[in-house]
This record gives sequence, C-alpha cells and structure tokens, in this order.
Amino acid sequence: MTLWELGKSKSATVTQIDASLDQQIIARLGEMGLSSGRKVQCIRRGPLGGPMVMQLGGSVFAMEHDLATRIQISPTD
Amino acid sequence: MQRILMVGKPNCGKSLLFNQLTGLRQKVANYPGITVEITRGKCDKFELVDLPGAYSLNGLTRDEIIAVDEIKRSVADDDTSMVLVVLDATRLAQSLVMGLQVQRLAFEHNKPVMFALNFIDEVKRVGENIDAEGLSKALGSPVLALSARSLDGLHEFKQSLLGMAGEPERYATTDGTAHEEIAERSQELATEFGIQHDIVLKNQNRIDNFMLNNWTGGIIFIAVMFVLFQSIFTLATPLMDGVESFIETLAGGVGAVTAEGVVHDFINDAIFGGFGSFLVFVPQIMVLTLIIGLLEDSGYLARAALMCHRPLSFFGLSGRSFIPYLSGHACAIPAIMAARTIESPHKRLITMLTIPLMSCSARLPVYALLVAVLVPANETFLGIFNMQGAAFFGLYFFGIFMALVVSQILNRFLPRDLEKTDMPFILELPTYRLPHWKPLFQRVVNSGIMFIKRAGPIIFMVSVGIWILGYFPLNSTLQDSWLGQIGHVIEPIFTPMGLDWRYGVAILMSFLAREVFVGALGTLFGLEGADEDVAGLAERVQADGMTTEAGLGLMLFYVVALQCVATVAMLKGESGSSKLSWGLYVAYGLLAYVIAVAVNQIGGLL
Repeated sequence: MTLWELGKSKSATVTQIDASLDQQIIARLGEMGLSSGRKVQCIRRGPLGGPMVMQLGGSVFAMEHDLATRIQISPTD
Repeated sequence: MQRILMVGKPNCGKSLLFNQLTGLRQKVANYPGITVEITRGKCDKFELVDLPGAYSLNGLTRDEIIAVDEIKRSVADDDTSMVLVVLDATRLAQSLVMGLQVQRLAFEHNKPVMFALNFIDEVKRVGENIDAEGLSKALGSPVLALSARSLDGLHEFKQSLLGMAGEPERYATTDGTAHEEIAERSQELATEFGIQHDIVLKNQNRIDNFMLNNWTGGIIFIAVMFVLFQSIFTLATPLMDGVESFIETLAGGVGAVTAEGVVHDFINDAIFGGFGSFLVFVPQIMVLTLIIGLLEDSGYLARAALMCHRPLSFFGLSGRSFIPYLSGHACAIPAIMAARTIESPHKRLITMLTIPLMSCSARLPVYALLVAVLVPANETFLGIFNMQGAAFFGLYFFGIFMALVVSQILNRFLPRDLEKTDMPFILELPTYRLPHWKPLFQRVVNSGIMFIKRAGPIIFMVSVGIWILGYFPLNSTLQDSWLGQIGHVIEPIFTPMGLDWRYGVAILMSFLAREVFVGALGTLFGLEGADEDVAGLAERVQADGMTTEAGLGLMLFYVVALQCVATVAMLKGESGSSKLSWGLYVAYGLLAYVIAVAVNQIGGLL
C-alpha cells in the first residue's frame, strides 16, 4: 500500500520509494528521514485531496498526493 | 577582519542568536544580480555573517540553490576563520543533515566548526536533556547547548566561540562524514542523543488539530487575513501621514532658502513632489513585513500555505504561492523575490507573472482618489459596511480574481521547461513559537531600506524625466509644454475609455510608476500639492463631470495594468527573460485597456 493510503494516527514502515522519481527528490526524501525501513506516522489527512501531514523522525511534514502515492509502506499495527 | 559564518536549517533560531551575539547594529548586503540577503554584524573583533537557511547543501528550490552557492563561496573564502552551525535541539535529526554536510564542507577547506545546540530551554521544559559532550565527541567538533531566547548558556557559548575563532588552527579538521552516509548518520546520532519526539510534538499536533481543522482552521485563516488587511490600513495610515508631513516640512524649508526659478521648481516638484511621494509607501511595506514576519516566526505561515495548496493547485499554483501573493499587497518587488521558495519552476514562473495583479500600496492613492470621486463618503451598505471601504475591498478582490484567471490560462498555455523537473510539494511544519522582537525589528527596518534601494533610483529618474517634459519649453503652461503636446496627440486612444487628454497624460506618465497618476492629474487640474489633498482633487474631478462608467473602468484599469518599471526590472532579473517581462508589461497594459473600454462602453449603454 502507498503512503497516501495511510489513515489518520496510523503508523507504518517505508518499504520502497519509486525509483523513477528524480534522483534529487529521492536524495532529499532520504535527508528528511524518508527511506526504506524508516517509520512514518500520519498526523492528519487534508480535505478534498489536499496534502497529508505526517511525522517523520522528530519533524512534521506536509506532502502532496502525487508524491505520497509513489512511496510504498507496510502498516505497523 | 576575520569572519565567523553562521549556517543552519530554517527555523533553527539562527537570526535570534545572531542578534544576541551582535546587538542590533548590522548591515544587510545586497548582492547585484541575484539578491541574497546576508546580514553582517560585529561580535567582539570578528565579523559575524548570517547566511540564509537551507535544509541541505543539495538545494532543490531556487532560494536554496542561491543560499547553498553563497554558503560554499563563503566557506572557501580566506577571511573565514571558522563556521558556526546552529542546530535545533528539538529537531536534531533534521538539523544534523545540514550540520554534517556543512561540517564536511568546512573541513575540506580546513576551517574548524562549532555547533550551537539551540532551544535547549524547550528540551529542558519537557524534562529532558541532551548530552552535549557526548555529541561533541561523536561529531569531532565542539557542541555547546544554549538558548538564544532564555539566554541559557549564551555567555559561556560566546566565550568559547571567540576563543575558537581566535585560534582556529588549534582545532583539528578531519574528513568529516562521507556524503552518502550523512542521512543515515544524522538519524543514528539523533536516536542516540536526541529527545523523545512525541513529547515535544504532542503540543504542536494538538494545536494543529485546531489550526488545520476543516472548520476551525478555515475560520482562523479568514480571521487572520482580515486582521492583516485591516492593519495594513489602520497601522500604516498614521505612519504614512507622518512621513508625508515630514517631507512637506522639509520641502518647505528647502523651498524657502532656494531662489525662485528653475532650480527651485526642480527641487520642489521633481525631488520632493515626485520622489518624496514614493517614500510615503515605505511605512506600509514595513507594516506588512511586520505582520508577515509575526505569522512566519510563530509558525502559522507554513500552515496557511498548507491549507491553500489544494485550492491554489487548481489554478496551476502551489501552496507556497500564498506568501508571495500576500507580500504582493505591499509591493511586488519583495514578493517576486519571495517566489523563490516555490518548489516547481513552472509554478514559480506563473506566480511571479501574476504577482503584479495584487493591489500593491502604490495603487492606494489612485484607488483613494477614484473611490472618493465615485462613492459617496457617508453611505453604508446594509447599514454596516462603509461603502467606500467595500469599494476598496472589491478592488483588492478583483486583483486576486484576475490573478487566478491569468494563472489558469498561463498554466494551460505557458510552455513547460522540460529540462527542469517539477519538484513536489513538501513542507516542514515548524514548532509553534512566540515570535521574538529582535529579529522581527531587524527584518522590518531592512524591508524599508531594501525597498528604497531597489525602487528608488528608477522612481527618481522617472520623476525627473516627467518634470522636464512638463516644465519645458520655458515659461509655457502645461497645455503647451512638451507633455501637453504629447497629450493632445494621444487623446484619441483614451476617448473610448471616456477620458480626455489630461487623464491620458496622467495614465501615460504612470506607465513607469503608477503612483505618479494622482500627482500628475493634480498638476493637470491646476491644483497645487494634489498628493496631500486627495479630497480636494476628487471634488474637482467630480465637478469636471467624470461619468461613473469611465471612473469604474479607470479603477479596474489600475488594478490590472503593470505600471511599474521596477517590477519589470525585478521580473527580468528573476525570470532571466527580458522578452517575457516586457511582454507581460504590454499584455497587462492591453488587458487593462480592453477592460476599461468595455466597462465604459457597456456602462454607457445601460
């Protein structure tokens, strides 16, 4: 399942990031703490398909639909 | 003088620390070409340089790329003794990414590094602590915990900093962490030394539940915007009046000591009348900078951008377009610079090209005059809204509406530069914090100085040029002056708008700087000092028989037309295309003309 499908307050582990994404973007995601094996938690879902808010390591980020659908996760409880 | 560089990620409290170390006396350097705001100040016998913040040395957005170039250039500089990296103790992993990258870069250039672990007061407040000594061993550079706000540990930190900067050669510089390992390493270090995030983030997430909620969030957003626009008027008006009377007094004083003649007229009309009237807008820009600064430092602006992202994407814009649009209501020039933070080059370009449609403060005197002509002063709508106020609001709204329409069109037809990949929208939501007055104060003062520096020279030249055309041949009336002669030639262009040659000349003059319109019209109506007496001029225009439809058309003309050479110059610098910038100038001019003619013609039929 993709990061976009993660429900509010649910946690997951990142399993894979779409390799066809621009290398620069993948690198930046890694620097943000978003790479395979890392934990991510959904803080809130935006209305009308707006950006989702998530907690990654010690920071909170907002991410839009197009990118979140290209990140694979496996939910943890 | 030997230099200490300050680097860190955005929201790490770097500006406040800089202020605490240097006091309030500082210099903002403005580099020609691409402008990066770099603040310099003195700290003991060293120069402290505050470089712009970035999340990583692999810059993604335009502002980051510019910041990174500047960081690399400054670190390599021979005069740089050492680099001070500011870390956010509450968000250690994020700050260490940038920290480790900068450390490696500094070591490559044989410059020692010191880490300032800021916001230690917030860490202690939740009952935690960070082992600065342990972190220092792990990083191979000194780490000092402090709080720039509560001043905890600041004195010790300053002593160590000065000691290190005095003898940089005593500190080892190794290889640092390899680039590929930085992301991994910062996570490890944060896990080992950092704090329990959930405790710190719990408060933030609780506030966000409210601020980002579909209902309460929306209401708060509207309330904040309302207060913001209200204060542009209520806070800025007394200040603007103050500047105005100061200029008048000064003009009076200078006028009294110069002999009658060309020089006297030049100083009075071109310098004080033309250039002076432009200085009146400075307070408004400063007030808007203050409010935007408050919103940004408190952490709210990121939330506003987040909420606007979805609605703005519909028009081909980004949530990050929200901030430049907001600043555009004071002045397009800083707003176009603010568009650098927009992640996608395509969206950034659309934002830059539509910023000029925001009603900037230079339009205010024009609106004030025409609203006074067309709308009776004491009338209210439904007994609550002042009609004149409502008319102002309508004009602002029309500008925003046009910007969204034009964005939509540009999004469809503007060719995409396939070389540049579109960056996705990722936005950090910073911790909510009470803004500190020191960095805010600095920003507000700088905004005024920057505005004068950037727009001043052009406005000055325009004022002088117009004055020459209106003054010569010697001893002629305005009708017979070169300007008057031009006016009669161009009159047919303005007839469809329902306006005669006098308006034509005033509009033509205002194509270089729109604020010239009121003053020019005042002179043309034979009224001395029209800038100060909008009400008097409004009566004259009313008595002269301006029709409602012609007046309405003229107002909408001023909303749309891009009459500001300084903005075109800025657009040219930022987009790199002179053709595009002047094309936009012509296109908005034509669009404004078509709208004005249509309103006048249709209104005439009704």
